[in-house]
Amino acid sequence: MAMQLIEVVIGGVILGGLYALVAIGFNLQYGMARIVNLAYGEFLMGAAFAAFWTFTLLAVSPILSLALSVPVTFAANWLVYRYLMAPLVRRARDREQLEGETILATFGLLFVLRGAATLAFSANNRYYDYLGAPVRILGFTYAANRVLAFALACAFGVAVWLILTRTRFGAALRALAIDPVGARLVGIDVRGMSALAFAGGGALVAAAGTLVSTFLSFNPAIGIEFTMKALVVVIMGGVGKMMGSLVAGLLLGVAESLCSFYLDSGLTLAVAYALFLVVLILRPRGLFGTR
Amino acid sequence: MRARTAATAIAGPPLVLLVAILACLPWLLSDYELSLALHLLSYLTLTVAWAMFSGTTRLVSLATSAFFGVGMYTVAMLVKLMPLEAIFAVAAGIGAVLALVVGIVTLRISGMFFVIFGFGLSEMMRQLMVWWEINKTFTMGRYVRVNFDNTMIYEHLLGLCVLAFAAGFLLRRSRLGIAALVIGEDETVARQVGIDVPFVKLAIFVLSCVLMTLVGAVMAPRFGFINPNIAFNPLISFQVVIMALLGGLKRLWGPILGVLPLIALSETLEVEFPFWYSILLGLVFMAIVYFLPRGAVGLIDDAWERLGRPMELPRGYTGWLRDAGAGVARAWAWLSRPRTLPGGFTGPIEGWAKRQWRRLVPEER
Amino acid sequence: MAALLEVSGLRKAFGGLVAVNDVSLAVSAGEVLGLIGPNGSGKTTLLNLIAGSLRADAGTIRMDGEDVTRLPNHKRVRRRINRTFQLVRVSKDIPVIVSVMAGLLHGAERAPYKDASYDAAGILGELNLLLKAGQRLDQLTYIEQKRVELARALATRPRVLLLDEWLSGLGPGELDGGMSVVWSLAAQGIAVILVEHVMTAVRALCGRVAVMNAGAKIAEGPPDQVLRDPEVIRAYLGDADA
Ligand SMILES: Nc1ncnc2c1ncn2[C@@H]1O[C@H](COP(=O)(O)OP(=O)(O)O)[C@@H](O)[C@H]1O
Ligand SMILES: [Mg+2]
Repeated sequence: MAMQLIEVVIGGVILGGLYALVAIGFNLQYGMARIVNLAYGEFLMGAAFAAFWTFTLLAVSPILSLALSVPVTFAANWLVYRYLMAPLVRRARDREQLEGETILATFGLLFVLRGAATLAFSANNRYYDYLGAPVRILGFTYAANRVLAFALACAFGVAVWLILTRTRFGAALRALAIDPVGARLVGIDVRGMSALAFAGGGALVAAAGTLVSTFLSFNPAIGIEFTMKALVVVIMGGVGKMMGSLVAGLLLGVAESLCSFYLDSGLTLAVAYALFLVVLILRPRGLFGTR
Repeated sequence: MRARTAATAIAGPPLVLLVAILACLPWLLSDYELSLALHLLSYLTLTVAWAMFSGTTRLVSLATSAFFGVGMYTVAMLVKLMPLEAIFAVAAGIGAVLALVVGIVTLRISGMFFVIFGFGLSEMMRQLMVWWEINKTFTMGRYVRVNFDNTMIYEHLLGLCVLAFAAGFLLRRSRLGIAALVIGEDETVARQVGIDVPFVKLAIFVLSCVLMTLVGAVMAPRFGFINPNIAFNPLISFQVVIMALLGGLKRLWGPILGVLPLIALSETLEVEFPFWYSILLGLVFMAIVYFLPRGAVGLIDDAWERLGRPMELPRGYTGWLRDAGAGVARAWAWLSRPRTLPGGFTGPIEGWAKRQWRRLVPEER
Repeated sequence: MAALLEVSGLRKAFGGLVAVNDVSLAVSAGEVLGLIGPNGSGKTTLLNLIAGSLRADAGTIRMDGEDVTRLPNHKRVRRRINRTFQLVRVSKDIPVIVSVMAGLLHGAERAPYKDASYDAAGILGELNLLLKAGQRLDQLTYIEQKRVELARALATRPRVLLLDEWLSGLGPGELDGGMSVVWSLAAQGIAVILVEHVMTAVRALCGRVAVMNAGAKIAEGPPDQVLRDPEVIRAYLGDADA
């Protein structure tokens, strides 16, 4: 019984690593570029399809598709910021108005992208079998693809962490998250940095999409669920706080894993919400929020 | 005050007449037209209910379909157990409780949390219902077979719609409504004039959600077969937001201007380009956000503004009567202005007639 | 005379910065208490604490004998404490009269709806704003905006009024008008705390002045006496000679 519990929790950590990656990307967009992007998950879905086609048509490892989908999504998100978000940033009177308008605009974008994907790929569920073989870790068995996904997610997470803490660029980004006005005053190009942060967030979610596709079935409608989980995790961990996203993402993964083991795997979103509610009630400013 | 009462008195009888005519429509329309009318009326009511909360407090609610679905599902589950009208009451109660829970948890904190929560609420409800159906009742979807034809649905929807408009009208002239306006403008000021901000938001939110739930409940018999995917369809939230934004949020009648063209558009799109539907709707939505942020109402208001108001007095939210008066006065002034045309209005026509006449009958020399 | 508003031991820190440090004050009905001090000395923060826009870390606030320290902002308004904002909060969409009506409807007396617009017009009339009633705040001049702030506060029928640099930015002619408004507030029995840099106004209006520096109250007394206090002069001119 206890062994089973440990197995489930480790499974949850593996899943949570991915959620953390998705949430960190979202946090780059929301915490640093100050854009609430409801179409965020659609890019995950796009990358998942890219991986699917690379694997089924070219019969090469879906991991290779990262080389394509990450830069493409980076560029696409940069363009989205530059041409769709920047006008809203310019005309917003205050942060609240900006949030409201970006929510609406990206809500429209969500339906455009999802519609396009449905048109192109049909609404069918897709699945491919890549590294499905079990591996043993600490005496428990897990699918190899999940473990690989977790490892790569960790690699991406570490890369983001290094960029944020070890480079001038990262320092500027962190300044942006804390105080955009102050950042401008010390000579940071806020508009340009925001565009890069936004694009970077997109690149991370594309990476996550590729990894997700190796072990979950997907269809054009999955984006919204990941967007929501990213939102929940970011709010729980604190806007602009990468460590918070990591911890909250792992927490969500474990909670979900426990839920699908003890209750039902169809209730994952309900678990995310329940967790969200508990955190909101106990700590209205997030897990690591300060008064 | 007096002008407002006068406006109400003047506008009252025609409105009553309009509602009476609308109530007779089911006996005049064909089946197809009636079903279109149902579609229209349900969206109009949802949009008015949405604008009631989101238009004044400016908190975007993406949870419409959750409440609509709750209404629908309540009917689907209880239809064999009690009479419909009783089920409607139960549905309203459930909607109110859900709205209270969501509101108490999220409205207290920040606008962002509320939006996010609403965004996922419908999807979560859908998951919960699917789980319930599969694991608890071993069904997938339910039939709603009751003696409640389209005419009955129509009359109920019309009642709800009138109720929604009346609530919106009264809200704009009440303690609560003024509070909501100030909150939408600036919450710090709202608190500083003594407004209990979370309470006001919650009260209006619950009212608006109960209306949405009832629309879902009344529409349930029309669907015949209901499963979680039908009831909790995120497209409904999406369409309601577009319609409200297209119409504009500043006025009570804004939703009418949004719902009519978008229903027409979506009917066409769904028939002509079924696969492109979501894309085109998304593009329309983005176009509205970017190019028409204040909606059709904003356009009309701007047009009036340009014509120039005679005096800046408090508009009191029923300034139209005075606007109409001003319009008449302007038209009058324009008509009575000295014309540059020597022959007055009819001068050119006379001149033309004379020339024709001369061509036919050469002048005597 | 018993004090209407009593503040004792109030403290507020933002992170490591103690913006208000153990401040005690009292003001009674009909009195104008001046509150002066260099920029950043914590005057606005103190007003925020009294009005309830911020929660105090320590200390108590008593209004008419009742402890209001834990009450939220809007409930203190209903206990008849109100304030104007140092930076005018400019509304963009609603007319001036609506915000004044909101004050009447939700303030201490919760006027019935049918009287609200009439009473609001009365308040605006007293402040010479009647002709601006239908305009939005951003269409008004700075001075008119400041008067609207006051009208909005008065609509809630306060007995304690906190004016945050309400007279600043007025020209010489306008200053007299502004001062007479404050004077008439006091004459109506309202207790006024006047945060102000305009010393002529402080001398003319205030029977008593409290001086803040770096979060602490450093002096209190009649204006002439306080303004001669060496510690006060040092606070304003810097520590060069200390
Ligand atoms: N919300 C806040 N967060 C952090 N520091 C603040 C905040 N409000 C005020 N301060 C700081 O508190 C100090 C006192 O400010 P304030 O009360 O505005 O002074 P005054 O009104 O006397 O000029 C200043 O150093 C200011 O920077
Ligand atoms: Mg100040």
